[in-house]
Formats: sequence, structure tokens, C-alpha cells
Amino acid sequence: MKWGTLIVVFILCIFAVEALPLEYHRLYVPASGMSAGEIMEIAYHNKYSLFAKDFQQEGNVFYVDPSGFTRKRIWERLRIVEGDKGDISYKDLIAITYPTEVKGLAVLTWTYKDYQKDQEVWLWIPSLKKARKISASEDDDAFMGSDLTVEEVSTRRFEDETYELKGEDAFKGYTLEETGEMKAQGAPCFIIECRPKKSHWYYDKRVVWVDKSHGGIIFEEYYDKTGRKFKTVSREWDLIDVNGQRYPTQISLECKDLRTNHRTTILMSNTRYDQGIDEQNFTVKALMRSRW
Amino acid sequence: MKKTKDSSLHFDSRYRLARQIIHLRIYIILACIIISVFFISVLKDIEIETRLEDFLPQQHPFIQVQNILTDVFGGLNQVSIALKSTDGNIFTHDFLEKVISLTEDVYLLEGVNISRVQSIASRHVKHVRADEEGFFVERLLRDPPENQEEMEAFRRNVLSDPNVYRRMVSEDMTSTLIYVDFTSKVRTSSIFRSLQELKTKYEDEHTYFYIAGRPILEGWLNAYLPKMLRILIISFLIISAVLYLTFRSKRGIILPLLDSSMATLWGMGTMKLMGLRLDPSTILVPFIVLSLGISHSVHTLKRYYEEMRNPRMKSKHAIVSTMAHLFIPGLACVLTDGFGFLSLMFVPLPTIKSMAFASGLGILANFFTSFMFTPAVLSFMHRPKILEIEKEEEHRWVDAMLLRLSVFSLSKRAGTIVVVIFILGGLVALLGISRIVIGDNSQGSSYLYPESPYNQAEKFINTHFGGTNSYYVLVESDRPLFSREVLSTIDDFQTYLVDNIPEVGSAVSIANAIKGLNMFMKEGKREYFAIPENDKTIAEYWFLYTLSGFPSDFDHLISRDEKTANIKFNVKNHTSRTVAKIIKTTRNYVSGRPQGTVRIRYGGGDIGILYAVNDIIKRTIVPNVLFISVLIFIYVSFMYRSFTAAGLLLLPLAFSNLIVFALYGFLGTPITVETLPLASLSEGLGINYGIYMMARFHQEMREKKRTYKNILYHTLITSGKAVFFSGFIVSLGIFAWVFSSILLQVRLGLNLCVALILNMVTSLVMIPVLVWWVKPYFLFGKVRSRLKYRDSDRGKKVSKG
Repeated sequence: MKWGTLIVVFILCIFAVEALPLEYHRLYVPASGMSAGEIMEIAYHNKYSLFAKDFQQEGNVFYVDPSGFTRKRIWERLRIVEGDKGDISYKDLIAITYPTEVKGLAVLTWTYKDYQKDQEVWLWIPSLKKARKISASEDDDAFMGSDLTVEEVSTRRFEDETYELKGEDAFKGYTLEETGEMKAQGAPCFIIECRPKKSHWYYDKRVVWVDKSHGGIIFEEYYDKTGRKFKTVSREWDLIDVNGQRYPTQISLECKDLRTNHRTTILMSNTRYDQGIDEQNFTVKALMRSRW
Repeated sequence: MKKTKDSSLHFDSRYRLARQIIHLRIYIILACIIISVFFISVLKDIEIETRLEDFLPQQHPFIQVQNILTDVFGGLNQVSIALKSTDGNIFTHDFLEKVISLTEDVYLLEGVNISRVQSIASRHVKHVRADEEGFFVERLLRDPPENQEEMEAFRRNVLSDPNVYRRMVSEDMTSTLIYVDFTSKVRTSSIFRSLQELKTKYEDEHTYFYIAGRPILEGWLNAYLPKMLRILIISFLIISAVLYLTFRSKRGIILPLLDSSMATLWGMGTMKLMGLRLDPSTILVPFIVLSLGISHSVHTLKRYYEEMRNPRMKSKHAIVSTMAHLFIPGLACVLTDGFGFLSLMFVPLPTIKSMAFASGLGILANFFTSFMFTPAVLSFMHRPKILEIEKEEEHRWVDAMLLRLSVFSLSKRAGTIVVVIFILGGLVALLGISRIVIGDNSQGSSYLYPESPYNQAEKFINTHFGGTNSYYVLVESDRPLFSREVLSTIDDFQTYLVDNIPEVGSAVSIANAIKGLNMFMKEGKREYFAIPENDKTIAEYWFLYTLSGFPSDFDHLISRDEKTANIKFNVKNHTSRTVAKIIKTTRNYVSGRPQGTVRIRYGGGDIGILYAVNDIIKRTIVPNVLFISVLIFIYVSFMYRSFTAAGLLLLPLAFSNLIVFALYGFLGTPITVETLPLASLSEGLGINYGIYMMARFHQEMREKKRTYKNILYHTLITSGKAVFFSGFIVSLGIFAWVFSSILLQVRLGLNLCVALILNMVTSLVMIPVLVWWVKPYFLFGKVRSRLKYRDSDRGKKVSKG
């Protein structure tokens, strides 16, 4: 290995270990002078809404193929963030409400604080009236049959990558294909290059733009081993006022696969935070009782 | 005598026309040169690209099903890559690391359909474990196992999965298979090149690398095609040598090669202007046009030398006389050959259309080059030396043979012998023809030698993994596809086909997916590998199934609008028998089931395509032969105002063609797409021999200067000799195809060679015998009736006085 490479690896390692765990149920905003690791830790904190105690949201998913043919699905999501008690980070319950022939299909997921511990997942099949434990989807599997991978939406952790701050700049903006609107134009951003630690992974690096104003990732570009860009993910954020605090909330997520020209757009609505959702809703028994 | 008057009038007009052409000779030469230079500039960047869709009959219903399959479910650019471990089995760290790395590299190839990469290391090949609590899915091979225990677990997972063991891992566990699918936008040359690079990267003493599939076959054909230039040169050299032996003069070699090359350029150039490419079929065009062109030039030059035997004859006068004599037979030959080839444009295969178009135009161009350009050039040349003329005539053994032939033709028994041979040969030929197999019967591609790298790869993959030939069936319904009724129909049909045809290895469809999921939901118990009773459960299962994959991961099973499902059968071979059996069984199933809401459309994939192609061959080969025969019949009848003349020319032709096709049956050589032009070419060239000989007979008989015996001998020694040499020249020129790396060209070359020699021999033997036996009115006139009753007077002077 060349000296230059060794130095880069060493610096990246420093960045990787530099960041400290953030506290649950607290809001963080990145600031100039922070390291790439610190910025990304805040980005993950916001991505999984760990600043909130619980939240509820509806998602409309559009799968659009190159010819324009569109399939639609709607889900309802509940999340409770456990905080510092126990070893669970958060619990998710996602239920399908559209299309009608699969309405009521639901998935319960427990995510652990220990990033090396797999999620626990149960599936509720209404027509069989059965709940089955299933293995967690692997990180590079598709997320709900979309162009996104599971880790891009729900399992990627801060510890999975190394980071390098590439600079700070005003974001050029992106067009949300579903609505045709230009988004995040001119937003001041940190530009960070992330490389996966796993070998044989589906991307070689990704470049992310983190919005300085709320610490959410607004744009990602994925590159393969040949240096070819093969996917982009854009996220639109809104700041929702909750008890005097402005919670950064994803309201749209769009992923474009540049190889297949297929895209997935998720428009999120009806987001409600800290309603005091009962933890009892996140058990297998509750899953079996659920009606959507 | 009115007829003779007419004929002489016609001859006078031909003579005037010939003089007019020679008068304009400078313009003719210049025009030919300018056109040739133009076409050289057109041809300088001609593309060599084999596209196997050019070999498909696009209007056939099966190909239309295939096109729907291509549009809805993905392309035909499927490639199989087999990696064989030479270290005993695949379960070693290094080998599995190589498989993982290769799979990653495959994902990165240009235009690869990432959802269709199937390898033990690909992202959607999973190991599923089910128990009472639930079911658990994980990637079969993400990283190579690090210790013996992990390796053993991996081996168990492979062996326990019927979708992996024997499909992606060979039964002897020494090899693994990777299926790759490319989008239809990618050029096959690019696929071929990139996969050859991967082969170079991964093949070593521990690993053998085999690649098969349509783009690879096209790639190999493209790689071999430039070598045809070498064969064209060999062909040129062989033809030059025989031309030298025939004429023993520089002009006798250069002029035929020059004028036929010009015609070839014109045909090829027009082909290029029409946007057509060179492929294994169209690359034969230069050979075909060249051969036919030389055949005509040999007659022109033979006649020219014959005229020049008169020491007082000037070159210009000799050439006018040559043109006047050869104008009608030459035009007849060119029109018959040209339209014979152009008739192949009715064959609904793009490659045959291209070949027919380019060859047809090239052959028609031969008329200008052989009967106008060459005479125009000859008229400028000085008179050949006497020595040269004498040398040209110096073929004693040929003369002796032709003399014997003329004696035989006049013998009492000749007619009987020929007729008996004709009848017996015809009967034997019919037996051979009844054994003809239509369609490819070889393992691998019939285009290439069995020992070619491509066929070796295909053989390896078929032997170790089986079922690499695809057969697709579409299922449509007015009801939602995810209902028990539709899925049960799919399941029932695929079980029926697999159970009834041993050559059908396995089937893949949404029914398998739903049955598998039902089993996993019910503790993995085998008895639950069935279609669920409840339509809602089926819909939920499919929904769950799709959640596990990316949007295009299921495109090979169901259309995006979920209105059409696809069943893929893996078939172990593609012999015409298997192909016919599969289609027949499908047809029986479809016609035997009640008309419900479910529609079954077949047949796509390799099996459907082969059936469609075989079907086209069956339907077009006989009409094509008949069409050319009718064309010849009409033209020759018109030329001599006699149906007998047409019959006399067609009989030898029919006989030799019967023998040629019988050889296919007896030798077990299948009739394939590439054989289609053979009939046209064989008939076209064959009739040329007859036309030239009959024209000479006609001329000599009309001149009334010799006895019939002398006329016969003179015809054989002039036109017959030209037929003999042109037959040899063309046969040997085409024989050069045996040096091709492409087997189909070798087979075509050999078959055509045999056909041409047979045509030449039958023309030389049968026409004189039949003419004397039948004594047709168009040749013998009123003398005919007298001769009919004068058995003993055969050979006597046929004077008109």
C-alpha cells in the first residue's frame, strides 16, 4: 500500500472514531468547523427522527418505469423511539393501506442500538390471520420493491462508512420528478464523501449534500467501482413545529436508478410527532390485533 | 421458313445493337469505371455485424410472440458463463472469491440488466430457511466462507436448493453457472468484447471459462467474418489458375476477374446504400456474383477466341459477332439468375432478403460488365497472337471426352439409358428427399464447427447444467393474474409439459414463486408447495414477493401492469424433433382445454424461434424452386417459341437438383435457413449451362452448314467446352468456402460445388442425348418428322435441301 493511501486511511479512521454518540430526544444542527463524522452523525440522528419520542406518518409510494407506467402503494407508519432505556433504539410498525387487495399487511421491526445486531421483524398476513417472524432484509436488498435499498431508508448506520468532508457550497438544486418542482436550490450544504466499510458492496462511494440549516441529507449520488454514477437520491425536508422545537421532517424521497431509468418517489404526509403512542402497539400480539 | 426469317431479323437487330455498343464503347467503359469507383467509396466503411434477429421471420406468429416477450419481459441478449474449477470442486475460498468478484464485474458491464444476473453470488439468489416460528432469508454467497465449518454450511445450502444445485452448480460440483442478460440497446460486439476481457481476467490454470449465448455466437461470427477476405483471395487465386488453364492468356484471366469484381462491387454497394450489413449470409454475395460473372465471361471469351481463329478477323468485328451471338442467351441467363435470386426476397427472413437483393442486383449488373464492358475493352485490345489462340484450343483430354460424349449421344441406346437413369435416379432421389431433416439438429450452433470455442462452451454448459434452450409461453387473462384459477392453469400447463416431454427440464413462473412462498409460510412443509385456495392470500404473497426485489427483478415473470405472465421452460436440446414435439404438445394442451378466461400464447424463446424458422423453410423452399423453374420455363419457351425447349433444359436441371437434395437426406445434413439460396443458385447456374448449349445448337442448326453429327460435336467443343470450364471455375471458386471457419459456409460451399458439377455433367450429357432422342421441332424443323422414321440415318447430314 502506498504512503499516500495509508495517510488517507488514517485520516478517515480519525474521522470515523471522532464522532460521539448523540443523545436521544434532542435536536442537533451541524455547524461549520465540525468534522465529517460529526456532521454525518447528526444527519443519521435526523434521518431516523431520534430527536422525537414517537411519530406517525403516511407515505404514498410511486414506482415509475421509463415508459411512465406507474404503480402506487400507500403505507401508514408508526415509530416509537425508545431513548436511553434498554437496548432497543426504536420500533417501527408499517401497515399497507393501498392497494386494497393487500390492505392490512403489516410489518413490525425492532432496531437495536448495537449496530451489529440484526433487526427483529415480524410479518402479519391478514388473509391467513398469521404473524410470522421473518429475517431482517439485508442492507442491500430492495426497500419495499423500490429502487432504494433497505439501508438507504432504514438500516444504514453511522458506523457503516468512512467519511471525508469535501467542502461547503450552495446546493445547485434538484427537480422532484413527481411534481416537476425545483427543490433546495441554493441551500448551503456540507459536501461529504462516504465510502462503505463492507467489501463486495453495491457502491464504491456516495457523495452527500447535508443541509447546514437542519442537518438533513438533501441529495446523494452513488458511484460504482468504475467511477460511474448509477443512482441519485433526493430528500425534501420540512421543519415542523413541535412544542416550540422545529423538527426536521422528510416530506419527499425520490430515487432514480440511472441504469434502468426507473424511479421511486415517496411523498410523506400527515406527520405527527410526540403524540404519546403506546409502546404496546409495537408487540407481536398488537400486530395480530391490528386493523387498518 | 418464316421462323428463320424472323430469327435472322432478330439476329440482324442484335448485330446492329452490338455494333452500336461497340460504337459507344468508350462511354461504356468510362461509365462502368465511374460507377465502380463510386461503389468503392460507398463500401469503404461497410459494417460487419451479425444480428441473429435478421435470421428470424418477423411475420411468423411465434416471432410476434417473441417480440412481445422482448418488449415486455426483456431481450434476447442472454449469456451463460460457466466457471469450472480444476481443483476438484467449487468449494474453495479462492474459487468462490473469484465467482463473487466475477459477478461484481458482470454487474458493472455496459448495458447489463442488473436484475437478471443469476449467480450463486448475485444479490437476489437467497438461501431460505423455514421453521415453526417463521422463515429466514439471506444471501447465498456474499463473502467466501472463511473456515471449513462455514464452507460445509455453504455446501449444504447449495445442495438443498433445487434452484441452485444442477442449475447454477453442476451435479459434480466442479462448475458454476452465471446467467447474464443485456438490454437490447447494447451492441453484441460490445458484449462479446467485454466478456472476452473477463475471460482473460479470470481464466487460469485453476479455472476454465466458458461463454455461450446469442450475443457470443454473433460475436464469434463477427470475428470470423473478416477472415472471409482471405478466402476471397484464395477463391481469386483458384479461379485465376483455372482461367489460365482455360485461356492461357493474360486477358483470359484479367478480364473475367475484373468484370465480375465490378458487378460484385455494384451489388454490394447497393446493399450498403440500402443500409444492409455484412453477415454470414450476405458475405456470400461477392462469391456468388463473382462466380456467376466469371461463368458468363468465360463464354464471352471462348466465343471471342473462336471468332479470332479466322486469321483475317479483326478484334472489333470478332467482338461484335460474339456479342450478337451471346446477347440473347446471356440476357436469358442473367435474367433467370437475377430474378431467381430476387425471388428469394419473398422469404420472410431479413438476412435472406439482403442476400437476395444484393446478389440479384449484382447478377443483373453482370449483364453490363460481362456482355458490354468486357467486349468494349476487348475491342480496344490488339488481336491475340496465333499462338495464344492455339493454346486456348489445346485441351486434348477435354476434346476427347466431349467427342466420346457426342458419339454416345447419337447411339441407339443413349436415350433409353438416360431415361432409365433419370427414372431410377429420380426414384432413389425421392427416397433420399423423404429422409430430409428440416432444422438444426446439432448440439450448439450449426453455424460453427463442433470443436469451435463457442460450440465447446455450449456443449459444456448443456452437459453440466442442462436445459439452456429456452421456451416461453405467455399467459393472459381477463381476471387478475393473481387468482387461483389463473395460477392453477399456469401450474397445470407447466406440469403437463414437463411430465410429457423428457427434454423439458424445468419451468419457471409466478406459480412457482407463489407455491414456494406458501410452503415457507407454513413451516417449510413440502405438502404446502401448492397454490393457496384464497385469492387474497395469493395477492398478499405476490405483494410480499415483490417487496423483496427491485422494480425490474420480476420483469421476467410478469409484465409491469400485471396483465401478462410468462412461463419459461428450460429445454435440454433444440433438435428439430424436440422442437416439433414441444410445439405439438403445447398445441394439444391449448386446444384440449375449455375456452375460459385464461389465454395461452406460444411460443417464444429458442424453441419457438427454431420452430418458426423451420416452418418458413418448409413453406418456402419448394415454392421457391418451383418459382424459378416456372421462370425458366416461361423464358426459354418464349426464347425458342417452344415448350419442348424449356422441358429439355429443365429436365437435366431437375435431375441434378433431385440428386443434390437427396444427398441431404442420405448424408443426414439438415436443411437450414442458409440452404434456401442454394436452390436458387444451383438452378440459376445450372440453367446457364443448358441455355448456352441450346443457343449454340440453335444457331448451328439454323446455319445449316454441317451434319447433325458435326453440329453436335461442334456445339460440345465450343459451348460444351465453355460450360465445362466455367462449371469447373465456378465450382472451384465456391469450393474455397471450405476454408471458412464458419461451418455453414463450408457446408454451403460443398453442397453448391456438388450441385454445380452435377448440373454441368447433366447438361453436357443429357441435353445432347435428349435433343437427338426427342428431335424437337424448334431445332429440327420439318426434317424432324423424316428423321423420326429413319433410325439408321442418325448422324447423317441434316441438310435442308
